[in-house]
Amino acid sequence: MKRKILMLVTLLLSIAMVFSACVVQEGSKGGTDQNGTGDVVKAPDKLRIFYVTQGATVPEDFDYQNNTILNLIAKAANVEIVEAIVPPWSDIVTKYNLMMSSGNICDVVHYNGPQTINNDGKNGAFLDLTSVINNSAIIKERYSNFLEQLKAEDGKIYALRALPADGDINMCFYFRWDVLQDLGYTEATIPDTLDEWIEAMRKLKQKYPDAIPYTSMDNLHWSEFVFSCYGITGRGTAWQEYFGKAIHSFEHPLIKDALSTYKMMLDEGLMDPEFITSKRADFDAKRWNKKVLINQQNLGAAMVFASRYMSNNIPEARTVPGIWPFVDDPRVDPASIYEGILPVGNSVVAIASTSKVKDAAIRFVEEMLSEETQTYITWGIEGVDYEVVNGEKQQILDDGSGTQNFTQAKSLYNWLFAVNTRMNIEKSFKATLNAIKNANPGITQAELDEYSRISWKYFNKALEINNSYPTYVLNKFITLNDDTAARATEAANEALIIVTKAMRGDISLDEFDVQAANFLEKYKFITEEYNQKLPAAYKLVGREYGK
Amino acid sequence: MARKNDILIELNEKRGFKKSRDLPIYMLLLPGMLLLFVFHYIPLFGVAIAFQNFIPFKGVLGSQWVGLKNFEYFLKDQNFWRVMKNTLEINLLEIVFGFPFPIIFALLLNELWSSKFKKTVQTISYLPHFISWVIAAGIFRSILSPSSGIINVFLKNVLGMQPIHFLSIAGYFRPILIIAGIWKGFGMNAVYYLAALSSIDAQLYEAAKIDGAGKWRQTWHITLPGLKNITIVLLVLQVGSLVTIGFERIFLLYNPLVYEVGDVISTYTYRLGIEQVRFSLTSAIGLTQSVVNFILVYSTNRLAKAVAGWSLW
Repeated sequence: MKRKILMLVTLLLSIAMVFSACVVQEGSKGGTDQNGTGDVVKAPDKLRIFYVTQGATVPEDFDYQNNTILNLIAKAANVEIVEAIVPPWSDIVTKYNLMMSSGNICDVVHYNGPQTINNDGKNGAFLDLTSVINNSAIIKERYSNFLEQLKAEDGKIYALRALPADGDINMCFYFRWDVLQDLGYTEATIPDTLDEWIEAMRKLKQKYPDAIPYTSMDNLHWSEFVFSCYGITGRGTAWQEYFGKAIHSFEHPLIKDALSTYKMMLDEGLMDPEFITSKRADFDAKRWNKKVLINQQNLGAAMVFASRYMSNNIPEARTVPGIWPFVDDPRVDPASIYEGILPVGNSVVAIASTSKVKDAAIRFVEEMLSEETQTYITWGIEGVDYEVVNGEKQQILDDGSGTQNFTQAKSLYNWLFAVNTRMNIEKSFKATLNAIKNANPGITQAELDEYSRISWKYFNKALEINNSYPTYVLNKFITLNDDTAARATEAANEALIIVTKAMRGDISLDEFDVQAANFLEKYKFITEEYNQKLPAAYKLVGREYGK
Repeated sequence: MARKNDILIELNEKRGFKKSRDLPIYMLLLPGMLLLFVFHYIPLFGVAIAFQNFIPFKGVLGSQWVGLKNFEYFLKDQNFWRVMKNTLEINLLEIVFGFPFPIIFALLLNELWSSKFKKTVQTISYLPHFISWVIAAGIFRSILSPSSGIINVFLKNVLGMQPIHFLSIAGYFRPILIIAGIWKGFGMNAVYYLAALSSIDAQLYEAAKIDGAGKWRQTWHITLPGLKNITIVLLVLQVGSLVTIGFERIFLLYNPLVYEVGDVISTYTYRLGIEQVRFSLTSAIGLTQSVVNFILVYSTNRLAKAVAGWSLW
């Protein structure tokens, strides 16, 4: 008897193991149900979604699959979200690639990077949305002016991109206004040039030897301060626009000047020598505790970043958006750093071609574009996050607990409405002021007004300067071939090694020249492909190649 | 001798499959075998993608066949040969410095008289084995931090030296890696040797003592031969994975400045596969790795048989 039981248990265990390894979750069509009145109601379709946070601050206990705003949107679309995959912001590429490699793609995919979606779309992963747009009143209404900009190289539309934002500039930074004031700076003497910023860093280091005036992260920041001052885009390791053509940063005539500046900053202790091994947590710890003077952020985030300091118990911090201080040299192309408003953004939504609930997925996407959703994600819930006074919405500010009463993480669902609209930034800035007020009970209204004035002055100035430049298209409207894109990632890794070694002085600038030349020769084909595709991309934003 | 014969007779009687007696025992093998089959044999069909330009949405049947193109690509790639060299060198260093360490430790531990102290040391030594590499790497990063790490604080405050950014200097990276590996693994490996030591007949030591053998003689003629089999097993397994190396340890400790000496096949394929989505290429590398590992295991086993007269199979 015992033996038989043993055999049975073993057999069951084996079967269970095999089945547990083979289970695949899939969306399924909802059936029909009856409501209380006897009417037949279609049960919600089960939907799986993959979405990214776009760097939004999300409370730790937030439920990505089951929360007020998402449930409202899902209910309106008559879908039930049965799975929501939301990777950490720093890990989106890995998690997206893992999902794609499994072949088990979520019904609706929200991602940052239209090029990736277009390439995967061409390979059959995503639905061509052309007919979906034509058949949907709401999508057609929202996108009829941007159809050309949505098209992939094969002429099909795989991704809906975020609608234009009137306050969105990627390349920006904030500075610690309170730290500058502590060093004796006034509004009239806020640094304007790179040299003046470096001088401020020196003063900071002199007054607080333990301070770290400037730091970066393990693979360098996406818009390195010093590189940007020399007109070199991003990390100094990738391809960029330069006077209307595509070049690699290593071809930029000022790359060695920028590297020398970094080396000088490292030698003088102005830059954190640990940047290359700093992970996100180390970077944040320094940012909060070591009086880091300058930090790169997009303009919207730069405007409201003080709230992050408040929630990290640094009540004295006041952050103000900065204006890039270009070095005075005709070889700097400001258009490669400043950027005009994009016709459509980089946050995209696509529908899996393998989805068994395509209609439900389309309904869900339509709902993401509805007026109601726009209200939810901008204002939150009436009575909780805002109230209507004399016919106008007014946000309800709380006691400074960090949520400012806005329904938690509502901005997460700004998938197709850009996050950094002027209205959103204004509301977030009010919440920031509220957080400052709560963290500093003794602060006067006059002090808050003064901080508000200087912040908006710099915000408007940054926006105005950026909008006076043409749209930057290289990483927005050019999709490299599959193989070239993969090699470009490999190339960026190689370039990073060369750049960091030169920054630290591990290799001389002469040696840098040799390594850069070899690099450029090896990856010449990428530069060529960019230049080949640039004219068409320029055409989408009304620019001309070579100008 | 008579006892040995009795055992052999008994074994012969037991030989042969008897359903009522043996089936339940064999059934216990089933879950393990199934696991092996599902997770190690079925995926073997995926090897096909090494010969394709594999696109996940098109599947194995729908993707284009490209023959040996992927193999050609990585064999011509300078980066591949750099990571291959690093993998071999780091593994060889681990064998040279890491392999004898648990043996020596087990021998020393075996000589302790106080069993309480022995157990305490043993427990402390194998605890790191149970710490994940994420935590262990965090500990090493903290200890070695140029600004707040205990080593640099000592160098700066006691010796008056400039802080050293250990993890970003190629010359320090491999020693740190080897030390981290030894620290994490020697306690657990020593357990295998201690188990083997406990199986050595105590009478042999008594006889050696009567014959006048000292500690060294006893170790040389009794203890080490007693450890021969387990040493060969572990050595064959370690040599067999000479072109394979633990991913997490390196991934969590390395950075672009030490790629030259620290980038190995596993980290390279991670970047190719997960960051660059080149699954066919990584499969081709993985397949090559497996073939080389198989050849190495086979050769080492043959060598062990020729030299030590004992082998795994």
